[in-house]
Amino acid sequence: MIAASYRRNGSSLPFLALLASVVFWAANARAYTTLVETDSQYHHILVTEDADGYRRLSFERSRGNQSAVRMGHPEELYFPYARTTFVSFAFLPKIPQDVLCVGLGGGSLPMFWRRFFPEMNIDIAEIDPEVVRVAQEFLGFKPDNAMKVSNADGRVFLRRTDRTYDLILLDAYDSHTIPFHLTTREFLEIVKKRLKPGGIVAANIWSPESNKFHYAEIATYQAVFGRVYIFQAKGSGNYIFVTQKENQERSIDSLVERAKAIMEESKLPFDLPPLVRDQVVPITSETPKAEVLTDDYAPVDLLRNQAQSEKP
Amino acid sequence: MKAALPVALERTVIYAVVFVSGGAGMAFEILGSRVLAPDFGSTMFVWGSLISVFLFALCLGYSIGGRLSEKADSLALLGIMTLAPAVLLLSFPLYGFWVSGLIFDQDMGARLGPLVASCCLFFLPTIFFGTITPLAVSLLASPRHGAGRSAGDVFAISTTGSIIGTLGTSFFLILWIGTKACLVLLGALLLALSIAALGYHLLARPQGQDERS
Repeated sequence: MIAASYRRNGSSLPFLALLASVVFWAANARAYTTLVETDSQYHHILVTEDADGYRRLSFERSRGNQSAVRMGHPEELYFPYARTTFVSFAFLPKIPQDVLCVGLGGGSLPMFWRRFFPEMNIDIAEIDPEVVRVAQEFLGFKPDNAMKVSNADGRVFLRRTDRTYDLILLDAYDSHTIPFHLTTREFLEIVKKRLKPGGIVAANIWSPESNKFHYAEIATYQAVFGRVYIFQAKGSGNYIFVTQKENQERSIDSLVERAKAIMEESKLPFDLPPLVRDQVVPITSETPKAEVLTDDYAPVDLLRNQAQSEKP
Repeated sequence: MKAALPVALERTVIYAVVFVSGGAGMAFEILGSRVLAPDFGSTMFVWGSLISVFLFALCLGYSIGGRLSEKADSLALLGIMTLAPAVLLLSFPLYGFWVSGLIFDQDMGARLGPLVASCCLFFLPTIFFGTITPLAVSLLASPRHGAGRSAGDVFAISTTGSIIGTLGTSFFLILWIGTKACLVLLGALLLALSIAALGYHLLARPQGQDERS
């Protein structure tokens, strides 16, 4: 009946729309080639390459990308959040020497560090050995003597190691899959113990939209570290939390000054001072209050999908 | 006619024990992952250890329970087999996390660590859960309801409990009240059921025997 009435009206709009979407889908489908698709212990690993040579790593077909790189160009950081992690460098008096990355992804950040800071000692804790293999084979990740990957759960690695770090980057959460034992007060206390004096933590936390977990993590970081500095990676849902072993008050001006000095020292291929100045999200009395997460009580799966009510 | 009420009540108590122990067993397994994660992470090895240790304990429990049912066929035994895990779960927050940490400190490797911890923490309580199934089958079997019928009923009720225990714990309870409170809640439920079974045995059973004689 409906189709008949369209024909009578002479409208071919639905048909055109259908045709357009099929063409669009076909064009899109052709634009990506799958390099590897494999089931590991923890993920459904997929690496695709688009017409421009960008390779993307994802852990589930329907979800976002973990990492994106252009082969032979480790100096490019595709994701805004990856560039925003460098705001954490502005909290340190000099370029971090000993760095730990919890969660490898495609390894684009460690490779970038290696390219621009050749002196850096980099440890990486990655739970999934297949992710490490795929990153090496398909995404240009190359560990070396001063860049080592440990096949371990992040928390287990931090408790077993006797090393300490200038910077610990926590990047082990998917946008939806959040291992609760890497979110709690007890976990952050372990992290804090593994920081050198003056050391800092940078954590990649998903946006607060429909996500009470974001506020619970603010509360939990505050409980362990005191001040939390938050930077929103513009153009993405990622926020970077920065906390310090010593709970110093930092002005944005002083951080911007340090970011300018870093630009002169290191020739980063993007401009760091604006990332610090324009992306900071101040914590105010308006920021919703939330409960501190503990090993006993960390309902991360529930919080992740809950909207924060307007008033705390 | 006089014995009808106590027999119906006895069946209800047995079914309730079977239902709750079936639920508590699976809930305990889910909670086990929350107990082990702070020390051993959320690796595949943790889940593999947990599931195999629970199955091994159930296996042993079924076998022990079957043999016990030939020696003593009473609600008192069912009550004791419910009381033991009740006590172990109620006191779990006092020793569980400490034991897990102790085993973590031995640094036995990514596989052996969670396996040994699972054995130490979850093996013993789960054996008791296993004994309940054959004991209940034996208690419920009668000339009118044969072993097949009572086994079918017990498995169906126990598995219904397991489904509710699994979903309830993972979907709601851990998120609402946290790990320790869940363990204590399960312990308290089991304790209430064991008191009901033992109480029934002490109060109603002699009466029933009088009527039969």
